[in-house]
Amino acid sequence: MRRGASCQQASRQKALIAPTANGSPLLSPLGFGLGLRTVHYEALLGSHRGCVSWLEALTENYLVPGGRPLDFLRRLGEHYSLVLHGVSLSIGSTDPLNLEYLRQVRNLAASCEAKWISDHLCWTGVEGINLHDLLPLPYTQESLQHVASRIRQCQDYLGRRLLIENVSSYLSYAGSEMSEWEFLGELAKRADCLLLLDLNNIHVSATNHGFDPNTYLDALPVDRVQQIHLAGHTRHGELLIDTHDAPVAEPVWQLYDAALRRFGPVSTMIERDDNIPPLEVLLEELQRARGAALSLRADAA
Amino acid sequence: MTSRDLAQLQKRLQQSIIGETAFSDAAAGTRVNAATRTDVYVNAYRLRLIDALAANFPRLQRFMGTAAFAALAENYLAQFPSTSVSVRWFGDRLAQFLRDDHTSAVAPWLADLADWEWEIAAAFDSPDAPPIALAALNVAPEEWPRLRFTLHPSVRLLRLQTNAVELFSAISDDAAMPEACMLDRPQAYAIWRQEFEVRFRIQDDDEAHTLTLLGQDATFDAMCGDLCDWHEASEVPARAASLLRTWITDGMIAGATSD
Repeated sequence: MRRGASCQQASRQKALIAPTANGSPLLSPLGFGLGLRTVHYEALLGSHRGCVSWLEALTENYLVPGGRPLDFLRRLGEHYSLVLHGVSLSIGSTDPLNLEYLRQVRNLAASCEAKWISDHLCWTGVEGINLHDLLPLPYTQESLQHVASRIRQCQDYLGRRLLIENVSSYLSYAGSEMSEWEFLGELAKRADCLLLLDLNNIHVSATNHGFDPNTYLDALPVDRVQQIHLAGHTRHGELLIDTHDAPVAEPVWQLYDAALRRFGPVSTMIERDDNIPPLEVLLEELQRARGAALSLRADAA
Repeated sequence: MTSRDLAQLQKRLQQSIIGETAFSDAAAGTRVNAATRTDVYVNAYRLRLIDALAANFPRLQRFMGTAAFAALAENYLAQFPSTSVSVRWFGDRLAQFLRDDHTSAVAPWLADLADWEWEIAAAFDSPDAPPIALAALNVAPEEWPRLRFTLHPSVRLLRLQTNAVELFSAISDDAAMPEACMLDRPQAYAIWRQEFEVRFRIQDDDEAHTLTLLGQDATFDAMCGDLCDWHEASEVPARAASLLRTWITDGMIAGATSD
């Protein structure tokens, strides 16, 4: 990567969103949370009210005109901090940005007082089609410039920094010019965005492409990592598939320890998308994350 | 790589995923070859969108059976890939797709069932609006002819040729499945949401006609005029008042004005 050239470009770009008082772009951490799933609505509002400090709602599930889903979100917002996590921004697509989608996201974020908004480093389709998949980008200077510019446009429109999440991938492109971690780290600086690290995705991609996940973590800027996802995966022959349908795997817990050491007490949540267990099971799993953070703090003291 | 290159690359991978054609831009990986890697995306695409369609039409899937539904979903996906930001809207043309399909001649209830299931879901998350109360009808007698009404945004009016609603209810209730059949004559139905509960009921022809009319901004006077097609003039005011009372009590009317 022509690092010198890219840094010059970055410094010429105006800082669109001011840093916070202490000079860091990071937002106040929220502690430990869970991905919001409909099967847990009643427990989160009833028997387990207040069991976590924050919930991550899937943006597209609430881009509906009205009715019960939005009412649940409103009621949950009375007891939990909410953040929005989208899958259709398609920030890496060469299609024009979907401004109608952004308008809806902005309105939703305002109505549920979302603490932050995240989406993925990927593209989901071109020529107006949505494949509803998180497709990887070729890691080139061209993509970097393209994605950084689109993130800035979105941030201008939304009036806040976005969190960009690394995706799991199964293929890489012959034309890539740099590693994913070099791309992501440089993107965060150029776009002046924040990062959502999915440690399961790093582990899955590391296994599938044969890189060291610790190299990935060590390359990322400490002052950009706002949130961590913990999740599970499935082995399919020689490849790991990011199914998010199983408990967090042991190598991912180890990666979490390494991430805590590098990035400090980052807001952490468990993201289960399928085969969703009762809330108690996820809370127990989250307890392990709390334990890891506590023991790290004890070590540091 | 230029921006045009990136656009072309994305088109090629998308074409590979949709059309299951070879993708030659993937890096040759260790242990697993590039074709196997691309296949992960190809297979996931079909399975994900079939699942999404099944999530939007669970009763149609149960009625048809998993295999027949999957075949339908693949055909639909090939013709109408998703263009929405959310899979919530994937399948918006399934009922019409079934009507246009040659199977509609032998199983016309499938299209009706798809239509019904889609509209029930649409009522579920349609816009919120407070329904008016009966007190809104306390207006001066001379204003009555000019009264116009706004239907609640959740209201859906359908006319079905088959017993799809009976099939839908049997599947929902896990009850014995009636035989699918054509009705003697088309039947009108209204679907709407009251608070957060989706409701539906059969409508008489005069009710279906006049509720449609009010939804098109017609006045109470026009509604009474059309009711004369079904009723003696002397009975029309009572019938009109009774219909309005029912609609308002059921939460199907969101506004009334005589401006």
